[in-house]
Amino acid sequence: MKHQLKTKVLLFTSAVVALAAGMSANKKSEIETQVKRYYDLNVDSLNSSVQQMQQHLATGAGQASLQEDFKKARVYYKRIEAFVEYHLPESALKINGPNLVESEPSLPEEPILPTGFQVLEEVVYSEEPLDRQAAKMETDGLAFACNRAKVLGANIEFTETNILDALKLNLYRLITKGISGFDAPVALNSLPEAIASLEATQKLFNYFPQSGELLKITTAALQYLQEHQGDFDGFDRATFIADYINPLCVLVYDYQLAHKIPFAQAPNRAIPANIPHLFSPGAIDLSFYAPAGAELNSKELAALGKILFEDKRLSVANNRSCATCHIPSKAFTDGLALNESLVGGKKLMRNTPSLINAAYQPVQFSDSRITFLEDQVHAVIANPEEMGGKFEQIQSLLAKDKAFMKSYKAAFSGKKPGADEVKKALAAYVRTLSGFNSSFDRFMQGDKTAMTAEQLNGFNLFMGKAKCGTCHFMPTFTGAAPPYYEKMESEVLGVPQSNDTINPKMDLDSGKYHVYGMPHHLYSFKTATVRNAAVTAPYMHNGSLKTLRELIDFYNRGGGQGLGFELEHQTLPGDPLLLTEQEKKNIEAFIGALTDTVSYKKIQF
Amino acid sequence: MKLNIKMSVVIAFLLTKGYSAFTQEGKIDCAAHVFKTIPEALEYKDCATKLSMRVAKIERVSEQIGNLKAITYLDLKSNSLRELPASIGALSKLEQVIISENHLKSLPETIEGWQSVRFMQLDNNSLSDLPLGLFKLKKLNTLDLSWNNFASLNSRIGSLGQLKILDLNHNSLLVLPKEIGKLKALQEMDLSFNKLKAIPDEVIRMSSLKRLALANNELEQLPRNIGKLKKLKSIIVTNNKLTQLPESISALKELESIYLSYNQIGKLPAALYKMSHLRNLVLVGNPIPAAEVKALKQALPNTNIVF
Repeated sequence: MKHQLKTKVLLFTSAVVALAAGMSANKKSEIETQVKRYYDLNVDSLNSSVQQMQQHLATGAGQASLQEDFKKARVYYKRIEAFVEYHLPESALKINGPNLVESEPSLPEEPILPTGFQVLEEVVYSEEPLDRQAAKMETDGLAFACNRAKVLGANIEFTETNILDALKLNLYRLITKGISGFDAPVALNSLPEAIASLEATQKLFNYFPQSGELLKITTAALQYLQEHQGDFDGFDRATFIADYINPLCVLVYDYQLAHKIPFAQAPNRAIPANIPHLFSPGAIDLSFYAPAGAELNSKELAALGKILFEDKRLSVANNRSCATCHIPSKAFTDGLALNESLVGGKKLMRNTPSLINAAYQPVQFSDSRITFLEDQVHAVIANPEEMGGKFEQIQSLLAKDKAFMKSYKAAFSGKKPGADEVKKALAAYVRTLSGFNSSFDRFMQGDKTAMTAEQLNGFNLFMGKAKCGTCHFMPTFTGAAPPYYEKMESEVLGVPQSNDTINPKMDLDSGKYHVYGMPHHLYSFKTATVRNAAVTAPYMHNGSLKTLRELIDFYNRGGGQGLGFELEHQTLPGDPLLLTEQEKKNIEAFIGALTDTVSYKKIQF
Repeated sequence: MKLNIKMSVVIAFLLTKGYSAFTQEGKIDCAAHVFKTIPEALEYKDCATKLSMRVAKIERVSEQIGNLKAITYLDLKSNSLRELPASIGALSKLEQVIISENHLKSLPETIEGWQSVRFMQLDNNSLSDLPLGLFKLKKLNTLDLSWNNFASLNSRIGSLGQLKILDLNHNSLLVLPKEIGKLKALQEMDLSFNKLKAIPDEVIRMSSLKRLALANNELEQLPRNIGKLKKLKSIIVTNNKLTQLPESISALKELESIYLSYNQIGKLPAALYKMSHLRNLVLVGNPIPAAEVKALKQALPNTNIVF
C-alpha cells in the first residue's frame, strides 16, 4: 500500500513536471515566435525606408531630405542589428561594414569595394554638392543588401539561447563601437542610434517572462542616453558603461541562470557566452588564440618556456636570447626605436613590441603575417637578423645540458628536445604574460575609485572626440574587432621616419602590403595595443615617436596627411582632432590607467 | 459507400504517412538526387545522400544539417560561411566534402565524426589550424588546404596514413613537421607558394610519392637522400634558392620531369648526365654555363631541355 502510494505520488509529480516542462516549452516557443515576427516587421521597415530613399533620390530630393531618410533607415537597422550581425554576418558587412576596400588573397589587385550605410553616409553628408549618381549607386547597393537580410532572415532559427546571446553581443558592440562613433563617423548620430539600439533591446527583453529587472536597468540606461544624446564630445561613456551596461549584462547572465536558459555553446569564440560582462576577469578565452592541442594550464611547460626565453643558445652565436630584446623590467620591450640586426651592422626593420597580452592577439607581427605564437617564435629564432638560430644546433646543445633536461622532462615525456617542444614551451610562457589588472579594469569591475577624474575624462575623450577607441577596441585596446575579436584591423597612418615635425618624411616600410600584395595594404600596420603604452615607449612600427605626447600630437594633427604627406589610402581621418592641451593631458593620464601594475609585477617573477 | 471507405483509407494513409511522402517520395531517387537546401533534404532525412548548396549565398549552416544522417556528398562551395555548426559532425556517412571559397577560420572539433570521409576540399578559406579530430579520419585520401593561412602543420598530420593527395599551395608555411614523413601512401604533395626554407629529411620516407611541387619557396637545398623516393615522377622547384642538386637524384629511375627555373644552380651533378629517362628538364634562370647545357643536351638527346 505504501509502495502504491509512493508510485502514485511519483506519477503525479512526473505529470506536474511534464506539464510544467510543456508550459515552459510553449512559453519558449511564444518568445521565439514573437522575436521572429519582430525581425520580419523591422526588416520590412528597413527595406521600405531604403526604397523610399531610392524614390526620393529619383524625384530630385535635396541633401537635407536624404539625410533624414538616411537616419531613419539606420534606426530600423539598429533595431535588428543584433540578429543580422549574429546570423547573417556577410549581410551585416554589406549593410553596415566599414568603408574600406578589401581583396581576396587569390586576387590581390582586384578590389572588393565596400557597400552600405558607411559608404552612403560619406556621400549624403558630403560638404561638396551632392553626387546624385554616387548616391544612387550606393543606395541601390544598400537596398540589395537589405533585401538579402530579409530573404535570408526568413530562415533564421531563433531560440531563447541565441536571442539572449545576440543581444548581449550587441551590448558589447554598443559600448565598444556604437557610442564611439565607429559606424557613424560623419553623421555623428551615434548617441541617438544607441537609443534606437537600446529601445530594441528593451522591446525584446519584454518578450521574456519575469524580465522586470532587465527592463528596469535598460530603461535607466535609456534615460541616461536620452538626457545626454546631444553632446557627443561630452558624453560620459565611463559612467554609461560601468553604471548601466555592465550591470545590465550581469543581469542577462543572472537571468539565464535563474531561468535555466542554456548559454550558447561557442567553442570558436574569443568571448564566451557564459561570462557576466565584457570586463569580467577572464572574459577572453585564451584558447581561442592558441592552436588546437596547445597546453594552456601546464606550469611546467611555462616554466620551461621561461628558461628558454632567457637562453642565449637559441641564437646562432649564443649572444642573444628572447629576453635580450623583450626585457621583463621594460614591460618586455627594449626601450629602443630599433634594435641591432645580427647581420651587416644595421638596425632591425621594426620596433620590438611588448609581449604582455601578445597571446590575446589574433595575429602576430606588425604586418599581421602569423597567427600563432608558436610560429612567431619560429620566425624570430630562424630569422638571421634577429636570432639566426639553427634548430638542430639548439636541440643538441640543450640535450647536453643536465639542468635544462631536468626541467624539460618535467614538461615533456620525450627524451630529446625538438624544435616543436622549444616553440611550444616558449609560446606557453608568453601566454602567461597576460595582464588585465589595470586601474581601468578595476574601474570597469566596479571599483569607482580606481580611476582619477582626469583619467576618466581621458577615457571619454579616447572613446569619443579623439576617436582612439574606434581603432583600439576595448577591452584589449588592439585592432581586434569586437564583439568577436577574431579579425585584427590594420591601419594606414602615414607614420613619419622620425619625430621631426618641421621637416617630416614618411616612413616607406610597405607593412602588410608585402604579405599578399594588396594595394590598399601599402604602409598598413597592425593596430597595436594601448595597454601598458605608458611604459613601452617609443611608439609605432619604427619607434619614431618617442613619447606619448608626440604620439597624441601625431593623431591630433590628422596622421600623415596632417603632416602633409600625400597618402591615398590613409585610413585615419586627415582632419585635426582639435584637442586642447588639457585634453591631451587627460588622454595621457587615461593611458596611464591602462598600465597593468599588479600582473606586471607578478610577471617579473 | 464503398468509395467513401476507400477515400477514408486514403485520407488516413495521408495523415499517417504525410502528404509529401505519398506524392513526392516515389518520384525522387534518394541515391541520385542532389538536394539543394536543408529543409528539402530533411523531408527525406533517412535517405537523402547528396546535398549541394554551392553558390547559394548562405552565411550560416543550420544545426538541422546534423539530422541528415545518410548524406555521403556535401558541397558548400562559394558561400559566405565563417563557421560550421557542431552538429555537422554527426554526418558519419560523409565521403566527399567540398567547402572551398568560404571564410572559414576554423572547423568544429566534431568533424572527428566523419569517419567515412575520403575527400575534403577546403581551399580558399582563412584556416590557420586544424581540429585534432581531423587527424582521426582514417579513410581520408585527399586533403586540399590550398589558399589558406597555415604557417605550420600539426605534427599529427602523420597519422593520416591513407592520405594520397595533400595540397598546401599558397599558404604561409615556415616549416614542415618531421612527422610528415609518415605519410607513406602520399602520392602528390603540393607545397608551392609558401615560405619554406627547408624540407625535413624525413620526407624521403614517403615511399609512394610521385609528384612533389615546391615552387616559390625559399629552399636552399633539397634533402640529400631524395633518391630514396623511388616512385617520384615529377619535381617542381621553380623560384627557390637552390645552388645545387643532390647527387642521389640519379637514383630516381621513374623521374620524368624536373622544373628548376629561377634558382641559383651553377653546376649540375655529374649523375644527371646519365638520366636518359628524363622527359623534361627546365633550367631557365640559373647561372649554368652554356657549354654545360650543350654537353647535357648531347648526353640526353631524348630529353626536352629548356634553358
